[in-house]
Amino acid sequence: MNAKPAISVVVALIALMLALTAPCWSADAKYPTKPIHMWVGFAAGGSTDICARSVSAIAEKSLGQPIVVENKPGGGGALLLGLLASATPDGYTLATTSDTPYTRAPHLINVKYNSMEDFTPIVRLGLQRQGIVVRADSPFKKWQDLIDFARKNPGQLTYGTPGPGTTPHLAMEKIAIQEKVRFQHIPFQGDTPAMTALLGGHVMAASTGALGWMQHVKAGSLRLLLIIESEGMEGMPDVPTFKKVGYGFETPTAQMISAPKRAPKPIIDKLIAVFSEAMMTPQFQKVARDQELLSVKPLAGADFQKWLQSQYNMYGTFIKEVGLQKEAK
Amino acid sequence: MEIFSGILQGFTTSLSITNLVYCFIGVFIGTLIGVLPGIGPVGTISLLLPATFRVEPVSAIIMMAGIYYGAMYGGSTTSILVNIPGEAASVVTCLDGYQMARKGRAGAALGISAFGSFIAGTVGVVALMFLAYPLAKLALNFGPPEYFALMCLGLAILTYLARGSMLKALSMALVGLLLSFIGIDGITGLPRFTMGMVHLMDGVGLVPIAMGLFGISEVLLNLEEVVRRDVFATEIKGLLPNREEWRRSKWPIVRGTIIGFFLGILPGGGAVISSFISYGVEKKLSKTPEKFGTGMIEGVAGPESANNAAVGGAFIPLFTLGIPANVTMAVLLGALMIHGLTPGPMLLKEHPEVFWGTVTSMYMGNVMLLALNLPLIGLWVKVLKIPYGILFPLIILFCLIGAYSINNTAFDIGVMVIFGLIGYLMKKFDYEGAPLLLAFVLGPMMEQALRQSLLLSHGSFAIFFTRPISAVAMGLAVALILSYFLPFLRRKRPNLEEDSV
Repeated sequence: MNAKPAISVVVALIALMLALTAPCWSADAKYPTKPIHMWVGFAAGGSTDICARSVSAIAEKSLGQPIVVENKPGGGGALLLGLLASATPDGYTLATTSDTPYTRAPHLINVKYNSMEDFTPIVRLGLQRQGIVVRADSPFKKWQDLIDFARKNPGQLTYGTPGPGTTPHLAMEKIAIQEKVRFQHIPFQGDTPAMTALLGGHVMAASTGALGWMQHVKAGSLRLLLIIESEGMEGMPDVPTFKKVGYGFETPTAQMISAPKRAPKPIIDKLIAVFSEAMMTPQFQKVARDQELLSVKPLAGADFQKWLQSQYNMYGTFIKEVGLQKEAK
Repeated sequence: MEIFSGILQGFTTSLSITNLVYCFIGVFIGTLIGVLPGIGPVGTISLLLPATFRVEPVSAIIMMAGIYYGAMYGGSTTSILVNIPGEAASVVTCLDGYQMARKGRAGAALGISAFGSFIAGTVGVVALMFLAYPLAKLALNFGPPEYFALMCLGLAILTYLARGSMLKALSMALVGLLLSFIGIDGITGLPRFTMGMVHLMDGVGLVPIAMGLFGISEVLLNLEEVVRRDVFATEIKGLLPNREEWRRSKWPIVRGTIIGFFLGILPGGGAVISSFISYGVEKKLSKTPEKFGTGMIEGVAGPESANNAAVGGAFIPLFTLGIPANVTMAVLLGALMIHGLTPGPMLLKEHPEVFWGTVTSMYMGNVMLLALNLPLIGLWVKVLKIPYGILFPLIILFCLIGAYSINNTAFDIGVMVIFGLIGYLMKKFDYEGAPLLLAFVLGPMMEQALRQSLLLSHGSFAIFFTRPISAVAMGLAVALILSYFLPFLRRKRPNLEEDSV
């Protein structure tokens, strides 16, 4: 026996690796004439990734070219926007992220882009539902019980969040200011670890995205006390919203698609049309419901840019108000 | 009785021709990507996800689960053959597996990891069937203080990981901890030690560090010593473990299985840590601990069983609570949701065929993997006969592609190359890579858990000793460290007496 079969196996493995990682190249003509790259600012399997993949799978049919989804996670989406800012604006590189690197990250860390100048937002896919939950056996039967406890026991109410500076965290800190109470924040890394800690009784409440708690609320092991938005929730008419308990603010998180600035207008218009249409298909609407995305109607173009700018300004004020530190220059 | 009807229903699902085919595709791809360094189950599952849209949900999940545990089988191959961990969970297999290969026992090392994986994988599935629900509740008892205590126990294992100088091992562990500080601080949200580089915000990747420290450095080291080539050329005696090797591996496999399964249940813990702990336990129990690191089969059998048993464990929180225990499980969770299934307390009620179908398919998958992997051993061993002039560039090429594919960024290639050079210097000066990696894996979880605990207790350290699970783990950690240092103290005492006389 000699080493030949082993070498041929190795060669086959290299071929497989190249096939798995190779980008696709082709000539230029009428848009789109080659595959489009959809970068995702978060890891595979997460909410942003699922939205990106399902909307791309629908949109590529009307575009007539495949959309290749690539995950480029890092810095809560800030890494991706840094890359996108310097990508060729030819409509072949798009990005799906949450609005975090647009509206909040620039107030907290030194990012390598100007979130309001360097990009063309294409479409907002929806807003992530959020809420504050406690365990089913908790003495807090309604929202006011929790506030009363916090007022009598300053700093004793522990609550988990998906991390510092996330919207569910900002919501709780704003509430604390408005109600003049003090909570003890325990940051976790993502919705799931925060939910695990709540289920195990290690924290008294948790403020996270609905994906974390919806199953447990339905199964009866957690109780939803408050919805962090002005609209109520389907199937849960008794749960109060921010508006109902008198909080005059909201802390939304959006999922969105954007492109580098200066992409030709006809291309942007085509992308807006195609993705808006893809969003309204029953397939995507189902994904959105499963992902607890709210108000799934397309927000695009100038209206979308205006909304982003207002969110950017609002979170800038919020973050200063609740006293979060920004990274030193 | 409900369980048995469930198992029966599961086998009806998983034994259908279609699902058997999907199971085979899954374990086959899993083995391949396990062998390829860098390309892991996470990337592969997410790449294949869109391809499963039109497939029945249960078939898709069966295939993707197959990729996951298949990768655990394949991961040990490159660790043993060329000292490059195929997966993070196979890092510790490098220590003794590679040395066995140098002694002409590559076949035995590959064989015992295949058999160990099979036994542990199968036991893990059986345990998953019967214990899923009670154990899911147990896992919830682990809050921040318990995690911190567990991580301390993990670090205490370090004292058994060190082969040479304890001082050097501890200094490497410190380096590992320091490296783990890089990135966003989980409590304040501010970046630390990133030097303004956005790529460093999520920290340095474990896989590029491991590939650099173990693989690239090994290639560099071998370039100097062309003569040593004949070490590998020594005749390979028998492709499978002999009776003596089986006798020595029996208990490590049993212990590795138990350690892996229970640590696998805990979110965040899982395969990597359980493989390190299993190695530490085997070294502690061995009559010849000083021989570890020179090709002890126990050091392969234990960890390789542990990382496969951890797979069974990791499915428990996913299926019963909707909590992914590691990144791969998080991708699987996403896959389930794309198929319109929400893992969690309702899954077993609403879609019993998915739960039982997947679990029973893992039993079939393990049989397939054994059948697939044993004949391959002969082929893998021949890889060692490829001339170095061809093999080394190939290894480097695999590592480069693998490092790039983790996050689709060239930054990780840079990290790997830098750690290759560092690893080379470390080997020259007799510093070991394993303590560095263990500390690097444990560091972030340990820090986060410590600070969360202190936030919960308003700054009191008593929280670690008043809660039973954490108190026991802390006690064990202290005992482990003392048991290492006590012999020193005893040995010194006579000298002191002489001095005083």
